[in-house]
Amino acid sequence: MLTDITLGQYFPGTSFLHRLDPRVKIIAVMIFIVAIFLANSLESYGIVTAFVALNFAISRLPVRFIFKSLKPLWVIIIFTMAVHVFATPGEVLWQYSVLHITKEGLYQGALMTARLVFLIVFSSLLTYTTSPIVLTDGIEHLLNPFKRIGVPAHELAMMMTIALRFIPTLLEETDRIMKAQTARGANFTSGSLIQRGKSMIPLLVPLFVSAFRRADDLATAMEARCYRGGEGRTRMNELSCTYRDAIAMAAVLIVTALLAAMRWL
Amino acid sequence: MTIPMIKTDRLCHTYEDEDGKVVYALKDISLTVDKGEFVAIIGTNGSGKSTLAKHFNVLLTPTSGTCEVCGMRTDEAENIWKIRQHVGMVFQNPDNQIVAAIVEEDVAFGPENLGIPSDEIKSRVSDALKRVNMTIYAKHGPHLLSGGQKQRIAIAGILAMQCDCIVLDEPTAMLDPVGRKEVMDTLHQLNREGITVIIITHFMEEAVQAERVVVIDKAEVKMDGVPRHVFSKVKELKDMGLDVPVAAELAERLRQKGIPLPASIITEKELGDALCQLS
Repeated sequence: MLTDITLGQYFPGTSFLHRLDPRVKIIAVMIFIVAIFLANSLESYGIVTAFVALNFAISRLPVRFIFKSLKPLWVIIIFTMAVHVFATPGEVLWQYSVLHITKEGLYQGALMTARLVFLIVFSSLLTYTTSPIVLTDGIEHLLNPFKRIGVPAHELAMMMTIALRFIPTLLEETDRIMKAQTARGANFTSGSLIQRGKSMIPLLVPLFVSAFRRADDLATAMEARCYRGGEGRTRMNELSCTYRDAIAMAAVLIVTALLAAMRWL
Repeated sequence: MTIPMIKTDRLCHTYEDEDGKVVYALKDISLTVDKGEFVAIIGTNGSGKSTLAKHFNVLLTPTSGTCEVCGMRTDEAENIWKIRQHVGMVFQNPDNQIVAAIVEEDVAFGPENLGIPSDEIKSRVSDALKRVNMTIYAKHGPHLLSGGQKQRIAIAGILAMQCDCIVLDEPTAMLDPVGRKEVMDTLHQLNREGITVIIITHFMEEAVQAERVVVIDKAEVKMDGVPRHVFSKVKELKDMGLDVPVAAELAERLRQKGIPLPASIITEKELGDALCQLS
C-alpha cells in the first residue's frame, strides 16, 4: 500500500508502529521528548537508550535510517558536544593554550550528545512510520479542539493535503519548463552563483503563473464538488484508537513516569 | 410529465469587455436535456460552450433568462448545493481537479463534503471505482496515472456523489487516443446505466457517438439534432469553423464529384458499406 508515494521520509511498512493511530504517535513523541529531558543520570540514560532501541527494532526500519535522520543535524551535534567538552569547568585532563578538556566536560558532552541523538532519532521515527497524508489527518484531529480559539485546523490540513498532492505535479512541470528553456539556450548548470540565480527567473515565472492557474482551476473543481469548508464535512477514513494505541501510550507513560521518579525521588 | 434534467429558457450571459461594452457570451439559449440523454455540445473556441456548461453546475448564473436543473432554478441560492449533487462536472485538465494525494481519498472528496457517514462513503467509493474500472488503482497516487485514468477518477468522484448527470468540459482535449477511448467507453457505459451525459468536445468523432449534437456558434445555438442530421450539413459547419467527421467530409467531396452517396453518412463503416454497394 502506498509504496509509490515517496514524499517526505515515509518508509512504507506494516509494523506495530506503522499501524498506530497518528494522533497517538504525535502525542507519544511529544511526551517522550519531555521525558528525554528528565533523564540526568547514567541509569536513566540507559532506560532512554533501551526504549529508543526497542522502538527502532519494532519499526523494522533498516539501521542506516538512524544515520540518515542524524545527517542533516550533525553540525549541531558536533557543536553541542564541543561546547560542553571545552567549556565545562572541572578537573582538567588535557590543556592547550586556552583550550582545556575536563572530566566533567567529557561526561556532560557525552550525555548532551546522547540526549540530542535520541531526540532526533525518536522523533524521526514518527515521520518514518507515518505517511504525510496520515500525519496531516492526525494533526487536523489534534488541532480540532483549538478551533474555538481561532486555529483554522481544517484549512491548515486541507492546505497540507493539496500541497502534498501538487508537489509531484509541480516537480514535473518544473522539469518540463527547464527542458523547454534549455532547448532555447538557457543555461541552468554553469556560471557563478549569481548567474545561476538569475537563470532561475525564467524558470520561476512560468512556474508561478501555472501554479496560480492550477489553483484557480482546482478551486472551481472543488466548488463543483460541493466543497464548503470544514463545517459538516465527514471523512471516509475515521481515525480510531485500538488496543495497540493503548499499549503504546501506556509504554510511553510508564517510561516517562520511571524517568521522572529517577530524577526526583 | 417528467421534469427535464436541464432546461434553459432564453438564457443570456453577458460581461463587459475592457471598453465597457456589453458582450454576449451566451444569447437566448433555450435548450432542454431530458434524463438519460447523451448530448454532445460542439463549437469553436470562444463560442460560449464552456460558459453554458458552467451554468448547469451553478458555477455561473444567467444574466437574464433562466436555467433549471431537475426543476430547480439555478439563480436561487438555496438550490446551489442540491443542484451540484445532481450535476457533476469534469474539467479539461485532469491534474487540476484532483484534490487528494490518494485515488480513493479523492473519490471520497465529494461525499465527504456532503457529510455522508464514513461507512457509506467507503461503499460508494468502491462502487464508483468499480464502475469506471479503476478499482486496482484505489491506493495509488494520482500523479502516477495516465490522463485517461485521471479523468476516470474525476468521473468516479462524481458517481460517488450519486449525481444523475455528468457535464464534461472538453475532458479529452489533453489526452492521447487511448485515453480518449477509455473516457468515451466509460461515458457510454454510464449512459446505459441511466446517467445523463453532456459532453463538450472538439473531436467530431466523439460527437458522432452522442445521441444528440448541439452546435453553438457566436453565443447562440445554431443546430440541434441527431448527429446524422447535424453532420450532413457539411458546408454550414465548415462556415462556422468547425470540423466534420472524416467520413462525412469524404462522402461530401465524393458527392461533389458526382458519386451518388446518401447524405446521412457520418462513420467510416457506413461510408465503406455505401461505397461497396456502388460497384
